[in-house]
Amino acid sequence: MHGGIAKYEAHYFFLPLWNSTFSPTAADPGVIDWFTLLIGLTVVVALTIHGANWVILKTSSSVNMKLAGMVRKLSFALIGLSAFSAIAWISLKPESLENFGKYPIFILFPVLYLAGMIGLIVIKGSERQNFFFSTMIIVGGIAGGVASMFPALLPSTNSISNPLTIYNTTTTEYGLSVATSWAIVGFVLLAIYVVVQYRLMKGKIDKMEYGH
Amino acid sequence: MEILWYIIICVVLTAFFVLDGYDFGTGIIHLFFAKFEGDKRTIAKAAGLFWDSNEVWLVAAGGMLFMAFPTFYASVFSGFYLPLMIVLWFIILRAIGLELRSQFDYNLWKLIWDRAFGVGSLLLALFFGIAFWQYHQRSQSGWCAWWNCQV
Repeated sequence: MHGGIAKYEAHYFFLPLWNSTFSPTAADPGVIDWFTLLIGLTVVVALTIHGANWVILKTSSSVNMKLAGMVRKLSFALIGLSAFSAIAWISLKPESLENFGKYPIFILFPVLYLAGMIGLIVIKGSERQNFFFSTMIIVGGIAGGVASMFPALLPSTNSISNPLTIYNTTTTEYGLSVATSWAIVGFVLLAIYVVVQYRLMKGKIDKMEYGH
Repeated sequence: MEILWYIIICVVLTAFFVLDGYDFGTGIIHLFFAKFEGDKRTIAKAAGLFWDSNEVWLVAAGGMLFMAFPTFYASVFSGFYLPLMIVLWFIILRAIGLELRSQFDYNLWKLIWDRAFGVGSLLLALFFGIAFWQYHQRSQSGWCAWWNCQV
């Protein structure tokens, strides 16, 4: 890597889409292997649940009853996929658990994920509550994954290179102060946009105009 | 300051996945559950009215990453070129599917863009999962050894 840019042979992608063994532990791994596919499938199921909860929350569509039943079935599927992914993850990368011992507060994230799944299955909540539970699953899943790597951004397992961490990839102090000033303006604009849009689209949207 | 920026970017990215995540799910539901035009229109509306503001979070996260962690930004966007390009294709496919379906009232036209919206959402969710864990998994198993990187 030179100046933060990965070097690879000309005319070739750095990473193949998959390799012949389809294994995450192969010497020449690709983008897709059985483990990344398993995680991808788990994300698809979690987001389908989240999307179904959103459609139920915002519309009076005739498929809402069917979607509610599907959410329940998919929640059980998500439990199975999550358990299988967690076992595979721990067996492939046991060091990923170290941060949860080092910073016990990080355990909150997997707990949030679990609580969301339990909420969807055990508590037959309102439309709003179910959407909140699927939100908990997404927040817990992403935050848990990121927390297992902290403070590394791209850790290195060899002894030659330093990992990329939040400390050695950050810009200068002056750069961060300028970034903070711009970010405050950006956040205000973003907040106004989001608040106005969600207020305009408050409640069920069935009667709102959208295309033909 | 670094930790503050790390937390801000994580929060913004999580907000993107929570907000645009339901758009992906809505597309998947549209693909498999919407059989009649009325349902298709209602479900597309549930995503179509919100997707643009939801994707602003992704743009914000990219900008913040560039401002605060430029070395990481450069490494990820060059090293993960293929999976991120695939994600970008599906983001485009999904958005144009949503926006174009209602431009003409022809069945074939709607069918094509309905499929684009549904398949784009399904594969986008799949590839986000693959890209996220590919990065996590690979980064812990010798990215730097393979790249011969020196920071």
